[in-house]
Amino acid sequence: MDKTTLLAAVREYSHSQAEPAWLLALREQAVAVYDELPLPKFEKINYASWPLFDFKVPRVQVSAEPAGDLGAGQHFYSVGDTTMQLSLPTEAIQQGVILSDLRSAIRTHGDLVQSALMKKALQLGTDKLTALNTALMTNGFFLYVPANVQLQDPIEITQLVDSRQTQNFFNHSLMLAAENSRVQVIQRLCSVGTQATAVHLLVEVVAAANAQVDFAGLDALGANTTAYLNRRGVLGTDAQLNWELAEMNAGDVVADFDSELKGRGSTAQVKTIAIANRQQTQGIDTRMTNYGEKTTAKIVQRGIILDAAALIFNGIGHIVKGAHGAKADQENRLLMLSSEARGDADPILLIDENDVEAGHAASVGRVDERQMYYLLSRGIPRPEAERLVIRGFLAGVITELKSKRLRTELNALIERRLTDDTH
Amino acid sequence: MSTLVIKNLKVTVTENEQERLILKGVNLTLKTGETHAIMGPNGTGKSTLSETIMGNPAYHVVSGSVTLDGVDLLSQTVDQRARAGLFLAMQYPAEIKGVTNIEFLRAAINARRAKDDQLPVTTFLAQLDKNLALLNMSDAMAERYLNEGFSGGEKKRNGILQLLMIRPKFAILDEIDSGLDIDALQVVAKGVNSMQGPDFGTLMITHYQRLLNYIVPDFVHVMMDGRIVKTGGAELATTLEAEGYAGLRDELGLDVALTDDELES
Repeated sequence: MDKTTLLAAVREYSHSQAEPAWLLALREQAVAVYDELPLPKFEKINYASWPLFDFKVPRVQVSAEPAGDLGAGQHFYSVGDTTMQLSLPTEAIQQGVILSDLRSAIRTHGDLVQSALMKKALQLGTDKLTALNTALMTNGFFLYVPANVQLQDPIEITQLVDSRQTQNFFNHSLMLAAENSRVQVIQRLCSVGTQATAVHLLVEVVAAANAQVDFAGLDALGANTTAYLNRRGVLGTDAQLNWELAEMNAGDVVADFDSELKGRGSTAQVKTIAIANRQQTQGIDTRMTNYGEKTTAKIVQRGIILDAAALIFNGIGHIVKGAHGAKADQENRLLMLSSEARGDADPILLIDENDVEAGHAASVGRVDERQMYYLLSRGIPRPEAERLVIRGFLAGVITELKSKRLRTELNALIERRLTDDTH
Repeated sequence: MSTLVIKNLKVTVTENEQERLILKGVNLTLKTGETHAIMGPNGTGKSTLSETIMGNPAYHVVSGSVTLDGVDLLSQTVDQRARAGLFLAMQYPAEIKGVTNIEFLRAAINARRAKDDQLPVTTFLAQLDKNLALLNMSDAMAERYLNEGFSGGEKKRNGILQLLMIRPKFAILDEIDSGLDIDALQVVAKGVNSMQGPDFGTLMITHYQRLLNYIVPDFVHVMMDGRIVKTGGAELATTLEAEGYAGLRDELGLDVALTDDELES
């Protein structure tokens, strides 16, 4: 799609939604820079030919609710661009917590959205895909937790990509945790239907001073989807951001999970589990940048590769000049279960300050045959023995997950991925 | 009654890209209800024999056969042999982080049962408690990751716990006495002895006569240079203890270098 057509389409969509001028201006700016900007770089993955750019002009699309009550118990449940369900505990509403879709938030909480959208966590001008999303985004979730509000129970969000019909999926979510607030969010991303779909998902998390955010992302997109996922958090003074991410997608995925430790004394952690199978490629760049003094960043990633799949973990720890007393630590480990599997675990440390601590560990290995022999010698058949070894390998991350329910859910997801019909 | 028959077994291992013959024709018949011990100096192939019976891929059978009740075992996979009734308490069991003893044991037991007839959890736990108590093991041991961070003695005890839970037809115990103090040895022996009966056969592999004071064998076999060179009753172990392997070698007129000779020379 050429620039003129794209710009006209974006304007038409924005008008159809009666969007405020600032948002149209942001979209126009995104279209303007889209052409010149480079694709985000994922080391060792060439995704330029992936069908990520098969998009249509943006328009309002309506999805029907699929059978099976998939949104049961969810505070936010959407299918495609359509918000199916929205609720909050009374206690949260009384304390001023806002949960809505982005489309309505732009209308009803425009100031809050404007203050942060593409301003704090993500910014225009870094890469092509972020710009494209900003130009074409049609919906997402918006969550605001006011200062000093501490929510006990997690906010549960389920978003289904509607692959029952041909449609764009440019989703953009924004989460603001104000000073001293505390919140847990679980975002589940799945798909329904079998049409080929390009998924563009951006999530911006802004954790203000002393806020504490636990963000779990469980991504289980179907084999027919090709996805660009980008979750980025920015941390204020003494803020804490704890990511727990599971990449259980069946299609090709490039993902950027970034944390910007801006505030002095802030702490970010990311724990990632990924499984790749069949012909699939999943490339995950996890970056933590220490800007503030005495900031602590930690990355722990574990991945399993089956069949002829490829899984790449690039862990990027960047300590910038002036981040005195910063700590950056990372561990990336991959386990390959077939001779055709391809895995890379690359730690990249960029250290521009002296009085800091940085460490990394990485490994790409095959199943330990001694362990297998031991399990087999007790009569456990090979496929089950492999699953035990895998479970053991992933346990380092799973047992660290704070929520027991999440651990159970993740174990079930893993089991399903590993017993995926060809196995 | 079951019978495990080893006939003229010849086995090599790969060392520096060369095949080296370790077992040079082993013949041995075990019946359930019997307790056998194989003794012998270092490097004579005792562990090779036990690992080959179990199916460790590092050992290559050149010729000979191993059958259980007439059924060939050598063509079976390791897990099939285990389900057929073999159990090997390994000298150096693997450690598996992230897999608890409990889930491992349940997987092993249920692998022997039909999908629709898995062992009920309560029955399993009752058996586990009983066996933990027998082996003076704490409940916490069952919740720990498989052998991870276990001391040598704890690993041996854990091996015997598996034996008691799985209840195989034949157990091969590879140097379960090494690294054990006398108290631990008694506990391990108590566990093995509790298994004794008409449906269970044992093959112990050891350097030392000491173990045989606690688990008394019906037959003692002496292995040297990849062959069983002498078979006798429990008294053979006592003789060996007194005269050493060198004495027996000279008595039999064997031309065999003993590892310890080499060390001394």
